[in-house]
Amino acid sequence: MNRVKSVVNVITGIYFEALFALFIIAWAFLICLFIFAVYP
Amino acid sequence: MILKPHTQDLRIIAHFLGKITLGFGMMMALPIGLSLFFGERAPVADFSIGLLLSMCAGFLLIRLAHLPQNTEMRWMHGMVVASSAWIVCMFLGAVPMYLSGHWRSYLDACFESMSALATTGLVLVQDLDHLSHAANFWRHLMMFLGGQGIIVVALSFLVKGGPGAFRLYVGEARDEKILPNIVETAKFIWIVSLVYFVLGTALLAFCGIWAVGMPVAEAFFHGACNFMAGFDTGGFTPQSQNIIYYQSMSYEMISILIMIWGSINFNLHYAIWTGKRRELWRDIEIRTFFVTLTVVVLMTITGLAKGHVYGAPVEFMRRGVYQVISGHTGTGFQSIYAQQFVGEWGPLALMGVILAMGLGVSACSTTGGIKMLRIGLIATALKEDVKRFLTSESAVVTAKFRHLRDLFLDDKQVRSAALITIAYILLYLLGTAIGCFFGYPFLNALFESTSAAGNVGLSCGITGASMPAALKVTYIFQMWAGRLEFVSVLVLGGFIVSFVRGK
Repeated sequence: MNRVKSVVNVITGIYFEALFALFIIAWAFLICLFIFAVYP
Repeated sequence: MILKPHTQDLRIIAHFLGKITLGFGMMMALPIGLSLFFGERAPVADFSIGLLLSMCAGFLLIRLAHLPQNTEMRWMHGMVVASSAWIVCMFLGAVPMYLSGHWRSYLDACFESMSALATTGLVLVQDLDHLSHAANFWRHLMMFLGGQGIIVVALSFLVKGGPGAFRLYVGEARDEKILPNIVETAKFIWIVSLVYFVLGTALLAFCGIWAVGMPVAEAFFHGACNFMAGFDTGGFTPQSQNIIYYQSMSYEMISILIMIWGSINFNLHYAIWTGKRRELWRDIEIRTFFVTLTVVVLMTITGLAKGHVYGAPVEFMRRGVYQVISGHTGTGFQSIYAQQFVGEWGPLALMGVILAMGLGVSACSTTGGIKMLRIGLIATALKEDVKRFLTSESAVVTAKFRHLRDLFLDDKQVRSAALITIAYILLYLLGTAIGCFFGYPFLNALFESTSAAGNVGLSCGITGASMPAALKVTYIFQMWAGRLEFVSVLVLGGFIVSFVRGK
């Protein structure tokens, strides 16, 4: 049971880290849009 | 009076150096297997010579040391072994590369070998597009080994745990234990890397097949190589055009994911993988990274937008942001050609990338540079000082920060962070001064020097087989000292001085 729990934790951990990286990409893209609006 | 090291000291150092050399040499069996798979004959001979040479050197060192069991390793031994192991591995790793005939001189092969081990990514290889699969894989494998740490590899497979193991581990600029046992810590680092290796290689390979149109075997080969270079924040690619070769936005975005995964502290990976997911948002390193990334992206994109370099936000993303993230994480993947940095980008955008390269991301990760923990600590200390002036004189001001647990800021931590930060800045300036001495413009020299010392690998065109030999040696030193974060390098220097001048 503990082993199943740790595997689930690892999978959700990887998913969470992927979300974090996507958030960084989205944030950087928002900055690009903002700058493009200022200096079209 | 300086005391000369005893013979026993040399024997301890030789014994552990021998074991690491053996372990490193055994890794050359992998490219031999790959060259047999792809039907390449010449690399089998090159890597067999390299393997035999490493084995002979390793056995000779262990035999000469003839160390009794349970000999205690002191801090000095750990530091000297850690720093000298990188030099020995650089020389041995360069042997099969030089024999392939794709490097103009042995110095060039050593440069590439150190660039791979230190996860820098600066290249001197000639005709990379026609390099054998085995030699190409070896460059990336060295990057993977260097990213985990040569000592971590040795601790995982060859060296028994104990206080001596911890001293070796610290010598390689990894002073944070993830698990109480240092060998278990080393094994956890491998588990994270291997799990991501499978995931990242599959993602890149499928993208290579569907989006780029590569044949299956090539897609997996490129996927594995690019994953190793991305996760270990190295920046090599199997072909000369770097990431531009794929001409695919999805391939670029997946490589950004991999670069960010590689730049996360292994301790944080452990926390997240054991269910403590909130740590990701609370950690001082991630918060500081978010702030610095915002600043450098703003600087770079503003510079590009003002100069009308690119005409659409997607282009800003694929060229500007990609280079900033590649620089900040210390990877060095390039989605533009080297000459475009100085030819098109303009000084503000260039300064943004240089700043990103100098900063780095997490301690106890595969990235180089000053690191966010140190920047975060210095910023917190500054905030504490300002707060002290603003509150009443009798008030007691304390500063707390979150790094896996709540910690109080003390002067010792700030001093250590400030010292290493200053050392990095001096190292960046040293390479810049030597670059300027050889006639390169200041900004170009600063760019290349920061890239080498911060173990990044972005190039504005200085690095090449035709650059002066003294500059190659300077960059080798910068890559080595930057990767080991100075302490063990200085201890090795002190050890040599005491050996020569001691009584």
